Amino acid sequence: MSDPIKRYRRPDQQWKCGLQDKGVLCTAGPDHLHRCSNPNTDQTCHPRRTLIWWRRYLPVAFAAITVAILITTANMPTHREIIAPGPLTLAHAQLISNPQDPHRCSACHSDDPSSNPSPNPSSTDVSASSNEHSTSPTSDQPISQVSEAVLAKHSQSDRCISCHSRDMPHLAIRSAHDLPVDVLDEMTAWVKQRAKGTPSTSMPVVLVSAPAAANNNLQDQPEPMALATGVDATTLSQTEQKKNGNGNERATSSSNKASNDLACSTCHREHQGPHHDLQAIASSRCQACHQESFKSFANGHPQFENYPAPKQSRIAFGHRKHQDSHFTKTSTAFDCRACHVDTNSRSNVGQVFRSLSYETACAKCHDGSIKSSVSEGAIVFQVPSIDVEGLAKNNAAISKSLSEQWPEEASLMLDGKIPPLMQWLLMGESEGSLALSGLDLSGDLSKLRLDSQADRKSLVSLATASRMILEKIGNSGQSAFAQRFVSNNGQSVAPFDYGIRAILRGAPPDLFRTAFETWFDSSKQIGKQWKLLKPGTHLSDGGWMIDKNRLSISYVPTGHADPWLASVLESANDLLEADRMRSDSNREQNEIRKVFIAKQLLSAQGVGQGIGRCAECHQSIAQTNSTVTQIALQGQAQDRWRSKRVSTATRSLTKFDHGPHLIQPQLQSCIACHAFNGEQPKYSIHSEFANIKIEQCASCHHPQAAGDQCTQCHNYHASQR
Amino acid sequence: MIASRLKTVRAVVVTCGAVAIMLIIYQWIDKQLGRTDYYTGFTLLAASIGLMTLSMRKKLIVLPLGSVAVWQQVHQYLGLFAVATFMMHAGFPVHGILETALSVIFVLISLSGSVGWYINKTTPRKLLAAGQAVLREDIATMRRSIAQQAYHIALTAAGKIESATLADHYTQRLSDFFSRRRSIAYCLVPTGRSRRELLHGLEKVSRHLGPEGRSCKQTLSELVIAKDDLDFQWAMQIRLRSWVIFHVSLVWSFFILVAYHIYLVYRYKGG
Amino acid sequence: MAGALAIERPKRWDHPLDPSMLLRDLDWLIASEPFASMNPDCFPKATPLVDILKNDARISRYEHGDVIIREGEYGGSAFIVVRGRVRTLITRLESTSVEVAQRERPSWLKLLRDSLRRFPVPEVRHVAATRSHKDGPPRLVTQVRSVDDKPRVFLQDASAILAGSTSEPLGEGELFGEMAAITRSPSHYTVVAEGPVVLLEIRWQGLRLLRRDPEFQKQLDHRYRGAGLKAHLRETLLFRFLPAEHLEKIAEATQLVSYGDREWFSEYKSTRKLNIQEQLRQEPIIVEEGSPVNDLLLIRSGFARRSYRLGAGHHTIAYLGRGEAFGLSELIHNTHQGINDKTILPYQESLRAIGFVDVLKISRRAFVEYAIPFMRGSELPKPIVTARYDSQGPVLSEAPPLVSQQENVDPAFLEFLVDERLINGRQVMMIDTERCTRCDDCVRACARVHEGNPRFTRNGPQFGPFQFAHACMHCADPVCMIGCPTGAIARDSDTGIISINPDTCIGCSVCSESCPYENIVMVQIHDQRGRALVDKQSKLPILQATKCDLCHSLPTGPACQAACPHEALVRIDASNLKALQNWMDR
Repeated sequence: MSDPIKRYRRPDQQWKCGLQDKGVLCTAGPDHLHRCSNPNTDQTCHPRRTLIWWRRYLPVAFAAITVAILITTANMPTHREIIAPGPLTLAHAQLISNPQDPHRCSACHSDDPSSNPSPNPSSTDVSASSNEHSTSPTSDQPISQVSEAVLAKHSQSDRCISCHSRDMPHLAIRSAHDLPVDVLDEMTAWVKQRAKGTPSTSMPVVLVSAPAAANNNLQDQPEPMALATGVDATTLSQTEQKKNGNGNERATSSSNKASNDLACSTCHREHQGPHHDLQAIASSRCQACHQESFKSFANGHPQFENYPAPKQSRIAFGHRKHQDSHFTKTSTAFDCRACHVDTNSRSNVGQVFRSLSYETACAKCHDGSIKSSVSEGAIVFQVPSIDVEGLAKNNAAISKSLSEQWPEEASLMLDGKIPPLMQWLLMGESEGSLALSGLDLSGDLSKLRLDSQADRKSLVSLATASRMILEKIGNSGQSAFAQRFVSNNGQSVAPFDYGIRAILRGAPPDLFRTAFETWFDSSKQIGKQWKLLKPGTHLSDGGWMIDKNRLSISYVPTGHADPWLASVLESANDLLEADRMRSDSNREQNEIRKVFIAKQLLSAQGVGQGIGRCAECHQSIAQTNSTVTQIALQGQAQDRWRSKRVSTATRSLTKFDHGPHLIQPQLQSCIACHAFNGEQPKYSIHSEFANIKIEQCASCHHPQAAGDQCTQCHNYHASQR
Repeated sequence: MIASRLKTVRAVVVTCGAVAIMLIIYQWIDKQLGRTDYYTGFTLLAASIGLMTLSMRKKLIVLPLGSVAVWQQVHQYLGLFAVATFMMHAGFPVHGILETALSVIFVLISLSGSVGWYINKTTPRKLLAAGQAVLREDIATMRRSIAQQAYHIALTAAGKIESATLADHYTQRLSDFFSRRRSIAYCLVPTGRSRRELLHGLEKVSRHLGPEGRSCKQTLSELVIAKDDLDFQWAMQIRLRSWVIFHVSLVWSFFILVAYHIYLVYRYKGG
Repeated sequence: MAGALAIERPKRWDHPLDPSMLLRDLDWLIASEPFASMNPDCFPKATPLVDILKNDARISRYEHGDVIIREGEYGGSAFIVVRGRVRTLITRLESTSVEVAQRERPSWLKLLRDSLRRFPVPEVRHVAATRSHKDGPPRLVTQVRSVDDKPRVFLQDASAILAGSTSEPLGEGELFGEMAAITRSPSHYTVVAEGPVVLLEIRWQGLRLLRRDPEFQKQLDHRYRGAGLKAHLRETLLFRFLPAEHLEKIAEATQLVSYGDREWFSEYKSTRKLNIQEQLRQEPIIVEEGSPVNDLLLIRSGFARRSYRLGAGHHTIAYLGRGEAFGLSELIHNTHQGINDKTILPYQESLRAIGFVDVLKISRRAFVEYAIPFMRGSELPKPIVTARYDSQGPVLSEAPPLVSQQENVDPAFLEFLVDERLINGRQVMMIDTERCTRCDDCVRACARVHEGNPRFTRNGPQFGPFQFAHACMHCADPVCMIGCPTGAIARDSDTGIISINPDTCIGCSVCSESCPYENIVMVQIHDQRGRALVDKQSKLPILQATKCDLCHSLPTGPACQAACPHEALVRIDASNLKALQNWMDR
């Protein structure tokens, strides 16, 4: 069946004889211009394209179509939609809502050609504060014409931060964990030291005060926080060593530039669709820096140290003691969940209260004892017991009116101590100061001698001042007293002023007038016929009273959290603190007395009988040398009474949520995890509970069950919001 | 046979090794928080350019760079490698219109490549089963000569009473078959259905025929078979060539889009 | 038709071997022997003796030590010693001392440019070039060009070599090199000039014409039978341990017989259409099976078919090529049996000439006496166990069919090779259609390296899945060269590649007609503007013969083979069954 004519077939030709497919054999074929070259007119044809022609020109045609489509779409309003590598996540898409906005891309992309030359105003401060390591130039400008500063403001990460600065602390946002490089260095050094087996102290606690704090609502102001505790950084590896091995500069904490240059897009990849989780980070990415290799959380993760880290509570509370003695005494079941769980509110550890209000937890048992301890009230003013007769005999220059009008009950003998609050009041007067200067610090009158000229002089002053205090306040009110005190020789008395104000807060001037008239104004025989009243029964819910028996004006606190008592103690505390912070050691008598009184007030024997019991629980109010107090200074005065609150907005390197754990039946009993440790119970800031072991977590936290991703327990952006 | 199988195994092993090395480097870069997409992207680009060199090699046949057969093998396995790299690079699902277009083109090219691989392997055997190798250019001529033969036989048959039914059958059923080319559908999936039908039809006619008519019928059956075999060869060859055209038709579009894609990536590079 | 350019049709003898031959020399030649004694009436009017000598001969001078013919070289010419003396070296020369003139290669730049260029016009010829004589003589003649300043291969220490080796002197009037020229086979010996020599070189086209003179023909035949016999015997593997005097004795007892027509190809085209048994009957029988064993047969040139009668037909076992023996096992068998009529076996198989065969018949007695004692036992065939024929005639019980003795090749394949005369091919294009996807990449690659013109057709005889495409096979016996009047079709003496010089091809179609494989295609030629070139007088298109040149100018070898993406195509020596089989089994 072979071809009768011997000829070459030319499969490389782009045109073929039009008759070929009809089976007509024509050896002439098309010429080089694709025309039929057969001279015989009967056999002329229209040459046809061969497959080779298509093979050659079809790709060209498709290429041309592609270019045409690209050029067409480049001028279409939806151009940006077309070239975007994918839809934005819902949140971002809602923010940048108009898809046809020509500046849509420039919201995030610094090098978008349509980008606004001046950056978003809100980002200015941020970009300025963040860092100067910025990236690419704007593509529509030659790099030489763009200054470094402008480039920095255009970086893409800066644009991320410009919006996210409200919930991102941007402490050092482009460095690892948002922590400053020196902090990272310190932590790394600690980890390395621990790895060497050197008995370490504890993880360096890094204190960071957020500059943005001042702007925020004072009420929500969280405590300055420890960014890293021992637990948080246990997995941080010996980056230094590894770095030398693999030359990865990114993991170097010692190199400022490298570790300060993490772009947001390193981990957060946009354009992955509306439901993409931008925060989902694979554990393997953590190992870019944390290269201390271990197989999984269950297998090789460093053991927790001191976890959960004991929070420095301001309230001394002994769980052990409560369980062992107090609850047993009252035959009440000790159930953690009775106090700690609340399914309606969230804290940063889930539906669990770390600390409870007094009313909820303590009042039931403690109200009674607290009330009875303050029932006697605190003496604010007491007529000093002066032997007026003796004084007159010794020719003291005591005024006649005074000796005549000095109440009989207080003129028998030179006896008793001047109560601390009264001493404080006296010091507000020049006359009172003079009087006190002759007394010892405890204000004991019995130590004075009538045969001593100086003592007599003091006594006279004391009597005068005492009388005057009552008179002034009674006649002109608290402000008069305070004014008089302020204008006293221009002497600097700031905390003292605060103290006096605290004492006189809520003190009714009428009461003082009545007292004055009762004791000193013999023309008015007021109150002589009054029944003798007892503070405990007379003022069962607290308040001011004249104690006829003790010749005093007292305040009976209302019970727990009495505001008057609180402010008095606070002022005492402040006074002590101010004194402690004084550098010079030579203080005048008055100053020494003030401190002494403050200490006395805060001690158990302080304000009055049992009133000092506040400090039994409110340890922070009694301690002056702890960090806690130091921290407290920076906060609001009231906060020192409360237990330390951990803000939900605070992010440390670890996180824990009780919520999902409590669902597990075996974990519903708190002691499954929080067992008492073996140490003696004590009211202290130290934890009574044993550390949690990694095995406890790892029994559920493995890939087949609860998962063991790093980010389940660790925060990357560790700082506060 | 064993040698060629060994070669296949070796090539597969090398390909798998390359993919494995690719994966290891990918994970290493990922661990360094590096840009794996740049790495896989440029590897993919290199592989694509490498794949394209096959046609260059075919054009520059004068260069002593090894036989095209070796290049073809490399092309095939490099294709596999490129598909693996593509999966690492693009992932699933692909977002974005441009990226989707690019992926679709890549998938089309690689799919057509795999189909081509398969039909390249199977077609020669099928062709061989359809008789002697014939040139595609000659098929039309041969078909025409068969049609003429058939026509003459029918003409002869028509002249005789005993075989007139055969001539009728020819005009009704066969003449069209002999004169026509096959449809595009037949080119895509060549089947023996019409051949069987026609042979069966001839068989049914034969009971009305005398001995001479039977021999005419016999010849006609043989011609039907010969024509069908030719059609089969033609269809297979057309299919093979069209496949190549399809495989290469999108290559330039692909590279244009790739260039645009790279341009965009650098223009909107994050930092 | 894109116009036509009329030119003068190229003619026979447009390119004489020596255009500068002087009339004086010609007169002198005619007057001297052997031409003087030739009968001018024997030559046709178109080609008188004078014209033959004028166009197909030339006088060349050689210095002492110049190599005139190198052993193994494909010669195109015979030489007659006019003056001086030459020596035929029987001992083999180390070929390293012989430099081969470098074939010119096209530049890389041109190759690259050509492979990227498109050639819309097929078969372009530069019109000037077709008529030009300045481009130099055809390649075949380049080797023996008679210009004095042309570097010529010579032996450095000719005297020592001549003294140290067995050589035969040839004096004035003697003819040499004619055998290689006529049989298109490599020369068996080296001829070196001894002292200054003047030779008359007659190219083989001329020699063919001269054979019309009966005396000259007789002389040629004589020499043909005698020359090189001993060299040939020595080459034979069987006799390599024979002492020289034994070889001498064997040579004396050897008879050279030729079978078949030397120009077999003209018959072949008609015979190949016959069925196999008919073809077999057409083949001249050399030895009939069942006839008594009197001789050992050695094939000297050509091919012979070994077969035996099977049923109504013949079964081919193998074909024998140059240097192979027939009847050896019978002879050995008989020698071991002694002279007992019962056990002496006749030839078990037949031997037939395929085309033209030269056979050396060595008499049984001489072989037994002089050769067998010096043959290695391990090399001798095993005694015949089941004979097809014994002294009584055919053995009735059907002998188990012998396995083909040549490399376990399928006998049907063997028959196919023989019938299609593919055994002649040294560079057969074999396509495995089980792998070939008909992508035509091979044809396109071929076209790419031949200025857009393919030089083969991708179809041809097929055996099972193996197709033998119509591409020049560069035959062992290149019959295409026989008819060429200008020597445009020539064989490269180094590589054996046969190529057509387009400058000298006159489009006479003789080679194309001669080629039994239809591998030479006559094409219509065009100028660069696509105009077909036509004859000035007749206005008929001018044709040229084209065929595969095995891409000899390319560094990559044949482009078709390099371009096949499926390893389905190979250029292979069809006479090397082992290689064939290996490739088929791969």
